[in-house]
Formats: sequence, C-alpha cells, structure tokens
Amino acid sequence: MQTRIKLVAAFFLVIFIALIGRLFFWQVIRGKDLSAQARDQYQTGKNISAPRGNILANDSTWLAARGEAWLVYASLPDIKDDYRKIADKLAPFFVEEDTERADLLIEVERIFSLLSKEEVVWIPIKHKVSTEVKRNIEALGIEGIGFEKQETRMYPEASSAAHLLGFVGKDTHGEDIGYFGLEGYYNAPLSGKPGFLGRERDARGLPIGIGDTTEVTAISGVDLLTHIDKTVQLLLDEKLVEGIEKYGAVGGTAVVMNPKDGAILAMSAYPSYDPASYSEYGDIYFKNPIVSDSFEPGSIFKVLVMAAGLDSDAVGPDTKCEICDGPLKVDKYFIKTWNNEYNADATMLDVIVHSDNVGMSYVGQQVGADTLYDYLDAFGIGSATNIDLQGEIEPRLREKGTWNIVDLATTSFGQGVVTTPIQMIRAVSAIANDGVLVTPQIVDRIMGETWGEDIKPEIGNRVVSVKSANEVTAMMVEAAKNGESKWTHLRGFNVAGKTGTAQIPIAGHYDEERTIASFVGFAPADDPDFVMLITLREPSSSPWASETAAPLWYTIAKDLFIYFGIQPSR
Amino acid sequence: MNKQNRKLQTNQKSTPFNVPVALISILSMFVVATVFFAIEASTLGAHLAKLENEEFLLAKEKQEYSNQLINSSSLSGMGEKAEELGFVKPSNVIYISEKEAFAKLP
Repeated sequence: MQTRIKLVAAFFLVIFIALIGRLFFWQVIRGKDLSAQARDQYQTGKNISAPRGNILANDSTWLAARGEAWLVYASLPDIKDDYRKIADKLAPFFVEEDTERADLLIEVERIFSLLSKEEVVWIPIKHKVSTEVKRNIEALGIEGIGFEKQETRMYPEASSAAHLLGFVGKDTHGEDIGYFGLEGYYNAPLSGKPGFLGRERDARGLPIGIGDTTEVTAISGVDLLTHIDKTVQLLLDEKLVEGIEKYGAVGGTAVVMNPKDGAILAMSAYPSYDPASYSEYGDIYFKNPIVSDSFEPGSIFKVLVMAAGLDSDAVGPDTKCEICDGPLKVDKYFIKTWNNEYNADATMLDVIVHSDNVGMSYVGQQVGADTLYDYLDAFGIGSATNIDLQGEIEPRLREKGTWNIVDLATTSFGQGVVTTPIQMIRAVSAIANDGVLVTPQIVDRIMGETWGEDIKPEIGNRVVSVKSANEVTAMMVEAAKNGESKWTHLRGFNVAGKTGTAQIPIAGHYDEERTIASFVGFAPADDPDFVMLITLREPSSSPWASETAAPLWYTIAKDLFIYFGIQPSR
Repeated sequence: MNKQNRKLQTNQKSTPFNVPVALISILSMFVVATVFFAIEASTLGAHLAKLENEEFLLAKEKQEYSNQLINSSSLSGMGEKAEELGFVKPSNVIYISEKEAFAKLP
C-alpha cells in the first residue's frame, strides 16, 4: 500500500514538474514572442511620415516640391503567375521609353532574380515609380504585386538651379536625406519629424474607438521661401549655356545678387545635372563651383585693391603712377601689362580702365602688405561668406606678415591669391553698396504649418568709406565704357564693370593658353539693382575676358535691364 | 395562531422587493449596456476607419491637384507654350525719352 501511494505521489510529482517546465517554456522562454503575437492580433501601429518641405521661388512658385511616388513590391505567397512572365510584364514600365532591347532584358533579369529569391516573402522591386506607372501596372491585374506610397521630389523647372537646390538621396539606413545646396544645408528643418499611431483593433481589423491609442504627431518639414527670381534664374541658365557653347569654354558660373541686402536672385553653374535623376551623374557634377571651387580672380580683383588704396589715402584717383613706364622688376620676375604697352603718365583711373598690372603693383606698394591684407580680410576674402548653401569652402589668404614683395605685387593684380566666386561677388557688392559688406542669402523666409520666420538680411561692417566706394565705382564705370570691353558696352546704360583674365596655375607655373575669364559689374552704377559675376573656364574662342565673359555679361544684362526697368541714362 | 398567520401573510404581501427579479433585471441591464456599448464602439471604429479612408482619398486627390498645379506653374513650361503660340522675345528694345513726341496727332 505504501509503495502504491509512493508511486502515485511520484507520478503526480513528475506530472507537476513537467507542467511547471512546460509553463516555464511558454511563459518565460516564449513569453515575449507569444505576447507580441497576441498584441499583433488586437493592436495596430503605423509610422506617420513627415512630408519634406518645399523650396519656393520668391513668387511662391515651386523650385523643388514634394511629390507622390510608389514602391512596387511583390508578396511572394500571393503570386500565382510564373515569375518570368511577371518580370516580362513589369520590366517595360521601369525603363526609359527609348531604352535598347539589351537594357530591357537586363531589367527583366533583375526582376526575375528578385522574385526567385528564397526564404523571403516580401520583396521591393522598384522604388519611386510615378502614379501613372502605378495605374498602368494595376491595370494588368498581376496578383501578388502591390504598391506602397513613397515621397519623391518634383522639379518643375527641371535642372534649373540644380547646384543651388542640391538633391534628395538616401542615407545608410535608406532614409531620405538632402545633399548639397539648400537640400543639404537645410536638411533637418526640411525633413521634419515622423510620427507614430498605435491603437487597438477588433477582429475585423477596424480600430476600437474606446481602445488604447498611442499617437506621436508627425511634424511636417518647413517650406523655404527663397530670394530666387525664376525669371532671372531661367535667363541665367539659358544664357550661360549659350555663352559656354559660343566661346568654347569647358564650364562657367553666373551669379546675380542684390548688393543692398545680399539676396541671391539667381545662381547658375555649368556643367550641371538633373536633380530628379542625380544617380545618373558622377560626383563631380554635384559640387557647386560658385561656393566650392577656388580660382585666381585676376583683374576683377583690382577694384578691391584700388578701393584699399583709395580708402587708406595711399593713392587718389588722379595720383600718377611713378613706375608705369615699363615692365616692373620684382625680385627675379618682371611684371608686364597684358598687352605689353606702357603709359608713363597713367593715373589710377587709367590703371583701372586699362587694367594695368604695373600700375596695380604700384598701388600695392603704396598701400603696403599688412594694410592690404587688412582690407582684403575686411572685404571677406579668405573667409567663408556664410551663405546658406552646403559645401562652402574658405580658401585662406596668405598669412599676414608673411607676404614678400612678389606676393604683394601679384596679389595687387589678382594673381597668387585665391577666392571663390561667391566671395568675389560679395566683395564687389560692398563697393556697390557704398562700402558696406552684406552676407549673401538664398532663403528669405522659413515657413512652418502654422508659423513663419523671416531671415533678416545680415548687414556687415563698413569696409571702405562712401567716398572711396564712389570713386572706385566711377573708375569701374569708365572701365566699362572705355576699357578693353568697351565694344560690348551698352550705350547709355550706367554700368560699373571690370574684366578679369586669370591664367590657370598648373604645377608651379601659369598655363599660357588656359584662362579663367570673368566680368563683374553692377547697374545702375549710382543705385544698383543688381550685381552680376560671370566666369568662363578655359574659353577657346579667345582667352580674354573682354571677348568672352564681358559680352556674355552684357547679353544677360540687356534682358535684366528690361526686367528690372532700368533705362538708359541718356 | 390564526391571528399570527394572518399577520405574517399580510406582511409578506406588502413586501414589494423581489430579489431574483431584481438581480435578473440588473443583469439584463448590464447585458444590454454591454451589447449597446460594444455596438457603439464597433460603429465608432467603423466610422473612424471610414473617415480615415476618406482622408486618405482626399489626401490623394489633393496630391494630384498639387502635382498639376506645380507642373502648370513651371515658368519654363509656360515659355515653351508661349513660343508655340507664336510669342517671341523683343529683339530690339527702343527707349523713348519723355521729351520726345510720339504718336503725335496731326
């Protein structure tokens, strides 16, 4: 009897231990999985995407806008057709209309290999297809092929202002992120913050009204209202490309800015790319040369050095150059004029009008290296302009106190010193703006869903006096009328301008053939509406700016005069 | 004894509270309330789902109109249309000073 009782007790003990063990397995080891499965049955959750903000022109029309696109995916368990047939049906929608047959077959193979993957049930086939393509695929009624909404970027003006806008690509996690230009600089505010909605659902999958709800509201990305004037921007794009083709240049840049408040009205660079299909272009196309490339400015730099000379009273407009009767020997080098012609009685006005390198060396000598450094530094040469674009570089000026006589002489006529086009146009804007420096700005206003914030113009320090600025302006007006580019000057218009032809430094010496031709100017000279800088890289029709960059500047200015309502003064 | 029985019967007749009936009534009320609220919650859920669906469709429609608006606001597109319609940019602009007489009547 005792033995039987013990056996029964042992039996129950074993059963008890087995039950405890099983309970431990379900409750502890599989507990989390099972509760997750249970939760999935009565809870639903979805991420609420934050729409990316738009980038608007100054008339509130779109430069870059958020658009709707679709991810085409395959749910393998739901597919009934043969994979090959599905790939044949889908491939034509994912290639360009004029694609060759070989490329189409590559696309077919790509889709087929995706569908043939093992141990997966859900496969993304193509990202960011248009609504039209989605409708066409839906019409085919392929079972197991579905669509998921995505966001895309629309560019109503196509590749216009591509360098200024930047583009939206993917980060390492596959999330949208802005690169270059405004998209890169303002990525965080443009992106916004995604939200989440979690709540209980009933057996039919419908939300339970009185159930638990977890909601994190999505914050939309802000819209950026820029100073960009579409009319000026499109004009600049069109004329720059025409000019580059006409003068056989390998590239070029053009910027139009309001010198009074620093508003960038248009910015164009070529070669360019299409931000809607940025992946088809190489990295070299993405960099904005206006803010990211340095160049030796050449003679357009002379107006800054002359402003320093006039403001420091080292020279006056009528001061005669005492060393302009021939080439100037500096150390072991000879400094010559561009045409090897010399005017012994040249005044400072003549020096600017005829872009006299020897005369400018004289100005440099009169000003002195340290003072010249201080003025150039005040003009913003050697420091970032802090324009609201990603990728601005700040090529440094040679350190103060280390300039030798050759450095001083060459810097005086814009060689041996590097700057960026945006630094250069800002410095010249200071002359146009009565001697006061402004910060170039692209964005005028940031607009949220229920709020807006104006970006105020950043007016900087006075660099030179009003008198000095006016004297340099008068010299630039004479240079435009009677300088080397006088043949292209628009008669009657009060334009202040200066040409610049800089040789390109290569491996310790200057290339005789390859130049950067530039023209900077503003109009009307006495109360400017705009300042514009044009640079052409390695023009082949002529190396001289007076025969390339200057006529291009006037071609654009002619249309700008009409647009801004600028009339000839006589 | 009869007197006492009569008194007890009188007392029993005057008691209006019937416990089982009351319990059943309360239970019934709870059942009805539960069913009612379940139906209400379900209806609310269905209504919410319907509103969300409508919101989705409206957002989709809005996006389509936005796309149309964005594309039609393209200045380069307008320029192309203007050219197709025969508009050309002025090739030679003549500025007339205020002092000069123009369109003078005979």
